[in-house]
Amino acid sequence: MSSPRNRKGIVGSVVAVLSSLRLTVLLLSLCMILIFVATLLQVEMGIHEVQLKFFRSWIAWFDIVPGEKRFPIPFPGGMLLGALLLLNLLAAHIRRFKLSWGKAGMLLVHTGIVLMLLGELFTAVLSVESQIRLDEGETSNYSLSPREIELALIGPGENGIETVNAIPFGRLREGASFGFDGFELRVTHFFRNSHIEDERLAGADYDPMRANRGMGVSLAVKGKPRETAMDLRDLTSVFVEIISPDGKSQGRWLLSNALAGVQEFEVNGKTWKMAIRQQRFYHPFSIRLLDFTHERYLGTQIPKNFSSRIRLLNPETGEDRETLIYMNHPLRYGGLTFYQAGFDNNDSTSILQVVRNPAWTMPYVSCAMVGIGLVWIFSQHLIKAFARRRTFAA
Amino acid sequence: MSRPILSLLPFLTIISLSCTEEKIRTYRVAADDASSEPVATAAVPNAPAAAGPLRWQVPEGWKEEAVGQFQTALYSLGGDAKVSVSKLPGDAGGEAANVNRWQQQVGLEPSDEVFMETVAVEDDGISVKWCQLEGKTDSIMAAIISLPDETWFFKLTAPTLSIETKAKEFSSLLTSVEFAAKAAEPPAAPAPAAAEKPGIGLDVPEGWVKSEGSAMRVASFSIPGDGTPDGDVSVIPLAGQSGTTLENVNRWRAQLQLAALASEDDPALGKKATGVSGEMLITHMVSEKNVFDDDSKGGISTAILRAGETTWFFKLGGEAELVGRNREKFEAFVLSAKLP
Repeated sequence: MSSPRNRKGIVGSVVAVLSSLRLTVLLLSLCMILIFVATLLQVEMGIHEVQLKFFRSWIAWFDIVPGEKRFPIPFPGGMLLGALLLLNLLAAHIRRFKLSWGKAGMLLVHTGIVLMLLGELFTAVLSVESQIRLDEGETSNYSLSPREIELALIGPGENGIETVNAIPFGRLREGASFGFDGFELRVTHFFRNSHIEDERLAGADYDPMRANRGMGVSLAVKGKPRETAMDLRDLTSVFVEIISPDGKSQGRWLLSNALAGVQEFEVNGKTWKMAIRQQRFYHPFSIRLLDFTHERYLGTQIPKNFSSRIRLLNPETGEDRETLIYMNHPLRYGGLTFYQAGFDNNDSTSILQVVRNPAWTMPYVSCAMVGIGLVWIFSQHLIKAFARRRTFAA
Repeated sequence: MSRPILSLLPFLTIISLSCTEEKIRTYRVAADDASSEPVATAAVPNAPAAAGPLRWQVPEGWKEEAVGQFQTALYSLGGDAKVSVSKLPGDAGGEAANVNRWQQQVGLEPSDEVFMETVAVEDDGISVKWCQLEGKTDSIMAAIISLPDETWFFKLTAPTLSIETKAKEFSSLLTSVEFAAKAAEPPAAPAPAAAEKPGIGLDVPEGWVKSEGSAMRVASFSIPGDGTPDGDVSVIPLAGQSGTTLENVNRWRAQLQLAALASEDDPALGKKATGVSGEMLITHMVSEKNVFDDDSKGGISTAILRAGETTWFFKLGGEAELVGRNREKFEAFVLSAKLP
């Protein structure tokens, strides 16, 4: 059994390591390696996948052997490095903290860096990005995730209102089952990205499983690596079974975001609908696209300006107003920011990026703190230098 | 709490924030508007038909029939000629698999290499390809429209002897295909179709008459045939390389029933002419057999000009004698081309 003195000694040496400048240098070096490797891998994996696997993960697995054979080695991921840097910075401050005007600049700079690290953490965990795609004259009260999908199970409607159970992508895996009102939905096969083919054309590399109900009958599916290009998205396919309370299967359906529309089934005389679709985020207001304008520089195809004139309708607050969203001039409303992100269909469709980021002010605040702190430190040095020169002159 | 323990707090916060499992969200919303579901094929003849993102105009006289499992629409044109419209997710197995299947349908041997003519390539990943397969009894003309998530097939199947008589109607269906979203817009002030096409400067030879052309052509002329079939001149820009020079020349040679050139005879290795807009490869070819209904030989003169991301195809086709008479005019015409 260790004595209190020994325990204090162990804690002391752990704190000494945690607060050491050597650890800072080591962590920053590892950050550089991580960024370098991730930047190279971005070519083949795409920015989204790289962000997810290397920067927003605890362990980044580097596959160092080229070719099909896999030999991944573990490396500290962005979350781990960020957390350790934060710990390192805080431990150093807590250990050596002394409040004085002379140290105020350094304190401000470091607090700013802490805020920056926390801001990135909150952005990674709390921010949600989606898109609204509107044709001119079209109205929508929801936005869609550009990459993430969900399995939507829509209950019987009443007076035009439906109950939607949205199962997130993270919960979909082979063997997963979900209980609902009088039945169970079981995932029998799951393909993160897939190719669907008429079974008469499908080769031996296609999965032998087939649907026996719904629009997927006679279609074959094969798994594919995830799409890495920014403008492509995965076509996720799932085989699901609906199990009645007596344990009997009602059949097997193929759901995929490659198949347009919803598929129906009946349980206890009630009709349910289901579909794999891009994850939806409903808002308490709706947006109508009145006009989309795409100006180009004269005689070229180079875009000069995109703008969407929209009408914002909020039945709760009674708001009904028009506003213009254009490049570098987003609309901030209801905790969301709407950016002009793109266009389609010969300039008749506008794509708005919808961002919910509760921590969006943190980078501004942290940068301001670091800036003020640096000015403070430099001005202290300057004052000292002038004072020294005056002493020499005297 | 001691200071070192305090410093562990952010670490624990990060772990707890990043380890929560996503929950199933349940919410109540207004039922989806029925118009957001795929629109059923219109049954009224000559009314715009639509399904999913595409919409097209059904030519007069076509009769709609019950669709098969993978078909979106099926029309009977009379005389055993049928047009089917179908769509499949993704790239539907690729062009080669589909063309080989059609080859088998008209009694042709499947081949490892199939050639489809690229008719259009849009910036947003949409492309249109065309092929024609001639069997002994039946033939197929087909267009494949590839969208980012799905592939559409428009296929005309008809007896080989009568397929040409149906080609114009089929072509009118294809040129009417547009995106449903775009078609749903309120009608804008009519603008001349040519205004949307890239303007090209051309010195048009005397005697050539401007013709209607097609959606693909930026310029189209007709050369009166004086009793023989009229000559046809087209100028078509296509995105990218649009096949090698040899592939394109062999496609034109096939139209004249000439044997394909081997790679050592690739015209691209030959001398190029320099026009106003740069170097271009001009070729002339004449059929050995009589390919026209009036038992005359056919001729084709072409020029390929590659400029940046676009390949420009100039083509004069018609009866061999007419093409020969207009050979110098065609060369002067293509060399005068001033690209937009």
